[in-house]
Amino acid sequence: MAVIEQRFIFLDKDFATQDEIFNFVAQELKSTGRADDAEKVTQGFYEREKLMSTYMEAGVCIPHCKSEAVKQATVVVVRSKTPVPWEGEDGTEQAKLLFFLAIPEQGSMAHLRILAHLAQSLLEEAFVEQIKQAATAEQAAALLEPINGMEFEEKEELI
Amino acid sequence: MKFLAVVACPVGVAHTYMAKKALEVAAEKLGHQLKVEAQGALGIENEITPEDVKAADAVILAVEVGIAKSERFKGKPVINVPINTAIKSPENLINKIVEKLNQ
Repeated sequence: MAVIEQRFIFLDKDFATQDEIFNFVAQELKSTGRADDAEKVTQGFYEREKLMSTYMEAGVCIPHCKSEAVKQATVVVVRSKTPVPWEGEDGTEQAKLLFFLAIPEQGSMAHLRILAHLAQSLLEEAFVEQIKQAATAEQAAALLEPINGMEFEEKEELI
Repeated sequence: MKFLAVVACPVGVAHTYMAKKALEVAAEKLGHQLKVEAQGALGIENEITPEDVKAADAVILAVEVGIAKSERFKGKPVINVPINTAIKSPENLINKIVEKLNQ
């Protein structure tokens, strides 16, 4: 079970609110066994968001939740057809491309490193743009899945 | 100039490492030396040594949580910024600090 998998990439689904999208992601994690309690996962996303908005820029968000309900580190990618209103640091923003990080309380270091690498690669505008433009989940997966292999050491050439 | 930075965020998985990378890339581009210590879920990485502190012109703390060993920087100019500043406008941040130190 990899941290980043195509089956957790959802392109152009329709979400109107943050609540809808949190619930959807939590349900996906629950139904695939990556988490055992969807409600706790949703709550985890909310709690983290309250500490500091995970809205980045240009419609990109990285909501995350560290919870005992999460059984394996997983990335869920959602590209929303309609922008979702999202509280940012400077008011309400429009979230369009979201990278959800589900993190177990006792996660493996290798998995945490993959999540850190993913976060770092999101600093690269060209990379994010490619995911925004991906025609299929398969195309997006082809861009993202190589990050699964970056668990052992710092790959400085990533950016 | 020679800078040090410590980065840390609430969960210590995403923003910590984004800030580390963003600051390193910006410093290199601007021609400054910068060592970034990450205090995240992976523990303390790239730890700043007493020798590093001695040689540094200033210390950037881009932290959203209490960090370990902040007493190391006593006597050095310490700049506290939100971690998002380090992620979103690292070059601007470094330029501003340089400007201040040169005053």
